[in-house]
Amino acid sequence: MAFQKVVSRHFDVPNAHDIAVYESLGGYQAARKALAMEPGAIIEEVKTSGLRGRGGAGFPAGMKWSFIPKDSPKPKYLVVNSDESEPGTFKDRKLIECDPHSLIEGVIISCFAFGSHQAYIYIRGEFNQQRIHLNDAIQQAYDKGYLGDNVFGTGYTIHLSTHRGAGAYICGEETALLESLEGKKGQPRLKPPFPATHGLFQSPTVVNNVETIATVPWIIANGGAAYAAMGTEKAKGTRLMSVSGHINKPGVYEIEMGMPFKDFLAENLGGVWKGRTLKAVIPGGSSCPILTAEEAMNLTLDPEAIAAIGSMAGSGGMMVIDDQTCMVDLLEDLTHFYAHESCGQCTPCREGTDWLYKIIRRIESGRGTAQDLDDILDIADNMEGKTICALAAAATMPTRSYIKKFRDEFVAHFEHRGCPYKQAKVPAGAGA
Amino acid sequence: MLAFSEKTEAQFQELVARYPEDQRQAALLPTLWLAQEEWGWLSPETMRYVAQRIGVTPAHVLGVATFYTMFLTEKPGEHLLEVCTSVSCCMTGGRETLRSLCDKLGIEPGQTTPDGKFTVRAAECLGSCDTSPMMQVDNDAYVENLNEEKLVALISELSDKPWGTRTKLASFTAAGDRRL
Repeated sequence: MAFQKVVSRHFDVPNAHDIAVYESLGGYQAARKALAMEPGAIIEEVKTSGLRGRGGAGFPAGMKWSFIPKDSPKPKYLVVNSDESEPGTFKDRKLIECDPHSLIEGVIISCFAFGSHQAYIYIRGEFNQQRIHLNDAIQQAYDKGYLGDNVFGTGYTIHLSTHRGAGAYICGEETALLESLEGKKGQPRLKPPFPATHGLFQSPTVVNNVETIATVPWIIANGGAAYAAMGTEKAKGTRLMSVSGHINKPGVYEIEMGMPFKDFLAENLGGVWKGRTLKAVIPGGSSCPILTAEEAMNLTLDPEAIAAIGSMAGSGGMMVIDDQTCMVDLLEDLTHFYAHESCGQCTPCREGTDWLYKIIRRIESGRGTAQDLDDILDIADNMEGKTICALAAAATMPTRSYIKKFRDEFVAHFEHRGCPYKQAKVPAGAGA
Repeated sequence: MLAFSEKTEAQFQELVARYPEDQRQAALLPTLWLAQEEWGWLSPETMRYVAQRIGVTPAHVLGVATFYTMFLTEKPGEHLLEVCTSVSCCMTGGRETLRSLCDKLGIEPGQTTPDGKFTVRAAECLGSCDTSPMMQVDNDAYVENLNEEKLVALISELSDKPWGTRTKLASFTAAGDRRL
């Protein structure tokens, strides 16, 4: 099937955030249809679509729902992850701004599918304007009787509210998010047990990304097969890409899975800015290993192809880097981020991220030696796989890739006793 | 003894009802937000009050409040300006913007102006990578696509606004490319 927009289909419609406009576009018909279906049939439809989680890990959504125990006496929860904090990612923000009702409709369908009566949207604290905007949309849905104790007059109950975070990247990790929602520090839990059986308030819980849930209404309206007809054999459908950095047209774009990067850059992004040359691409958020220009230009944008060259599709937060960028400077900024955002629970991550930052800061300032690179790789060895969550690896994987692919730039810093590029005026994270 | 204003108390009652009765602690983050918006920051006294209202220890509240960067456990200036300096912003002028802002106010990142008007901090990724350089004002509005003119206009606009002004910033709405 030819590509068509799914989650971004209302982005260009004025006032689609208003329920009247949303309904005039066919909104809430999918939810009505779903509530007349067998819940199991909804899950099957989503399985047929091949929809995978859009938050970063890419777990099949339908399968995640089917892990929820049917016979549990405990309440079941849907928690929508809108913590969107991975540097380079801003697609969920755009979705909430332009089309909040598609998210709410997705929540209604998803809750009904696995038997939940209570959903929370955990939204990062910085997105305050977006939270207020989303609350207005939720209120509209309550006023219409699409949420509450008698959803669409079926007698089914669904309550939905937003929950404001307060500035912590780690709360994007699903168990840290649940801890935070329970009124604690956002420190990830050991798994197992998994949220499917012991999630929010130790009850069965599904945690899904905003984009994932907002895709569900289209799938129910058009059928899972129609969604699966787009994309590649393994990566079905479409996805949102948030693209920033050194390009002419940064923004949020929906693409068909498997689109060649080369075409995406030329057709959608307007090419590299200021007539400069492409140097590198971060394909899916700052945690993803970096790609050289050559790797990127031969790449198709689907998780399998990106994994095949050693990186990740992640959250779709792509950053494009031009030839006048110092990779050591960029890595310094990146490692500062992880040092700042480590929750401090596991020693290898708390100490390791800080050491990575300090050593790379030293190299950038011209006081590094060749031994530093060996030390960095040694520290990375002592972090990966030795912590509760993936934050440590999110710092080490890109670090390794920068050193592997741009080693000559690190060496140039040793030889020049400083940064051969224009010195940044303020060190990364000063005063943070 | 502290107490929420009537309006905040109503909001508090509404939000506590969102969570199961035996899970009152889930309301802690939203309640800290209410307290911070009521009193501007989270003093030890405020944290003790929140602890008592939620039914947890003051130590737990202190631990939570200091874990999250947006909770202010030290008194900030009347306006909090946070410039994003993470990856994308770092590539497109975020740090230079932070430097310029600090120079205009005569302070360093992390400091408050002597008149107590402005506190400036560097922020980690604010999810506005396509409109960098950008900053967040008072834990609320984003001011995007910053340049020298906008910085000057923003400082001047905020200088006249006391703490707690919730009117939309002209410089925010002028950013224009968001449909909010």
